[in-house]
Amino acid sequence: MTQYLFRRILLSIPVLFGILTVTFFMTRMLGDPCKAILGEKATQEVCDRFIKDQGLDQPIYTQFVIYVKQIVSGNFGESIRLSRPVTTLLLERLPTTIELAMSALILAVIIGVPLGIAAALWHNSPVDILTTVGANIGVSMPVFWLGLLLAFTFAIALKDTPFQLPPAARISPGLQPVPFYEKWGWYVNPKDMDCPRNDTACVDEKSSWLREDSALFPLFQFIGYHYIFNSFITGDWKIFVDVVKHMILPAFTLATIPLSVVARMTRSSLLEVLGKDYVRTARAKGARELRVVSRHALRNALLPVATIIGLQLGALLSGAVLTETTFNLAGVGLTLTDAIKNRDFPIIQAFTVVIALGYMVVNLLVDVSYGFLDPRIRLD
Amino acid sequence: MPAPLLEVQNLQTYFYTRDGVAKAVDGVSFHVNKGEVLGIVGESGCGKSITSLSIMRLIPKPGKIENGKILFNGVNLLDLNKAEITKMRGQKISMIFQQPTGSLNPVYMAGAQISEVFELHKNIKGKLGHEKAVEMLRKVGIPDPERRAKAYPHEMSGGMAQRVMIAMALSLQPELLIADEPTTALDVTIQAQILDLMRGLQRELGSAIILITHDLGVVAEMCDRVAVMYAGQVVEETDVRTLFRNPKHPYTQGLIGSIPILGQVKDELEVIPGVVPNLINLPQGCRFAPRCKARTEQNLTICSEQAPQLIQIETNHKVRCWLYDSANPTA
Repeated sequence: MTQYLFRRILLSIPVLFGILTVTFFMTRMLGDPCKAILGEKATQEVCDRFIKDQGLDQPIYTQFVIYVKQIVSGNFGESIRLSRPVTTLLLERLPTTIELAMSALILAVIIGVPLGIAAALWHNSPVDILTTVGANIGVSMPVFWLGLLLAFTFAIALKDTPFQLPPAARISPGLQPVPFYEKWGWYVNPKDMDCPRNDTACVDEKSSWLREDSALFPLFQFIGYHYIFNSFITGDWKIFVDVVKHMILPAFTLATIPLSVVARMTRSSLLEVLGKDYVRTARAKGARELRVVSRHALRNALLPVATIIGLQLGALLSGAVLTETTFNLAGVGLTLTDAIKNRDFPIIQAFTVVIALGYMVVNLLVDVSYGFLDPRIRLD
Repeated sequence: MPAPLLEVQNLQTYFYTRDGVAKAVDGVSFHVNKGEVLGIVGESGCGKSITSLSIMRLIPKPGKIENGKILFNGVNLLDLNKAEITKMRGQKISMIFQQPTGSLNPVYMAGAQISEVFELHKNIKGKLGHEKAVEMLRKVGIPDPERRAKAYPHEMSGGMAQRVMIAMALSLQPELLIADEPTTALDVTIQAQILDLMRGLQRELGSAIILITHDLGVVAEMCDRVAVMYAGQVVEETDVRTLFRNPKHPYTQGLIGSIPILGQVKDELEVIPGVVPNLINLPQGCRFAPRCKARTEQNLTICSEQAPQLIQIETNHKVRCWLYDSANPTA
């Protein structure tokens, strides 16, 4: 098992390097970032200086070598347009996408699997027909169109009813979530210290063990930016309700396709398994129908569903681009589309690699979990 | 004579397909005495398996038991509600199937699948259940049962899996074991071992067995009495000696005549001409009539007009054929 994991992780290195190389050279084909960032009216001189500042005047392979060296030391560079380190952007924006994708995935599984089971158990009944038709519609509906429709329905048509839901942003203006590490006193915000400027002794005295210059601080920040998770563990229910409300429409929008795929897969897989000999054996040994389905059939039927869920997570990441744009969520997808429009090379490169990495991690998790679910392919 | 353990009376199981009603089992009657082995023989599609699944009330859709009685110790199984028949299965009546590896659940260990029977019916769980499962595995002659109890079905050969199935079926010493072609999927040496095992355990536990097979060799080896089925009906029922020495029904005669005999040189094997009739569109009169040699030889016309009844021609010998029916106007 450990050996297997080690091999998989080792194998992922060349893949990541390949993605890195391809995105690096492809972004260079997008064109001149100068005009995109400084505007059409930028003079040749201004542009020349800009290009030189960004190091874009170097030969392309030199740029690549510099870039790879940076990455290996954990530095993804700085955004050309936003003048902020890409790592900081990732810390802030990746959590939005993770929470969105997870919410969508949870919706897809908790709705899709039971629907699929119901459709299979009551094969050819109205439940089955509705599920199948619904799933076909769900798969074929364009994400952005559904998003706009939902936004219109819940933000405009149902305005001032209890069903009103916010159509944009992650959190209502004015609300500021307090990260868990601050709430629990692991970290004291310099703003709350009342120290005179440059009085390091005062700062040292008032600081907790976690400080902004700690190596682990970005990790804590990253976790804290998961607003739903953060407000949940800190028990900040007002913010929790607000961020969950903001997540409902985008999560449903993003969930439609995976939900439909999961429901269809569960249905067909369970139908197949219910006809198997071992299900008949279970009945013949005197198991009640509920047990036959839950213990004997489902465990087998959900094997292909697990694979599909893993594959759908990849689709969720690409779906996130459309959903985040529709609902104006500052996640990986929206940042990436903005960066492509503005030829912001460092962001495009880093975010693409992160999406690829996410895909690979998910696939690895699925492969490993498959071994737990199915003894026939247990990894020894 | 004591009351039989199982008595099937006029069982009719039909399948409602898109093309019409397939009368897979149509008026089958037979009985099984306590502790005896009844063989049910016939070609593929003659309704043997459907008969056995009807006894277990495990008929898959779109099949339905239309009519008849299945008396088990005097209780009609068809009158039981779902909970009552579920209690019967695995405890009083067990079943083993043709494809042993496919009949075991691939995601559970063999031991767990056996101990589930104890859990379901006796509420024995955990360690004790596991020990009972190991004990059963030992009983069916599996070497190193502790280790094998932790094996998954895909790690077993067909013969081993069938032993596990037998262990599972006999865990609670059922009064009746239905074995649906238990050796068909196994190779010949393993077949003999499995049959030996079944016979040994049957003597030990005193269970009755319904052995469904198309292999007359297995019948001769194992059975006390035999029912021959053709196109959803029993055409002959008698003890095993009489069946081989003095078969009455032309179909049975054909079946026995088609067995190759070791040492006897023949250019061609005897065959019964024609094919099994379509169960949706059955011929009028006797179902075997279109293939019957006796009918053409004796020039019987009634065969293709009126269906014969299963009549008793001697004690313990019933035949469904106009040749032996005193009601036959032409005989």
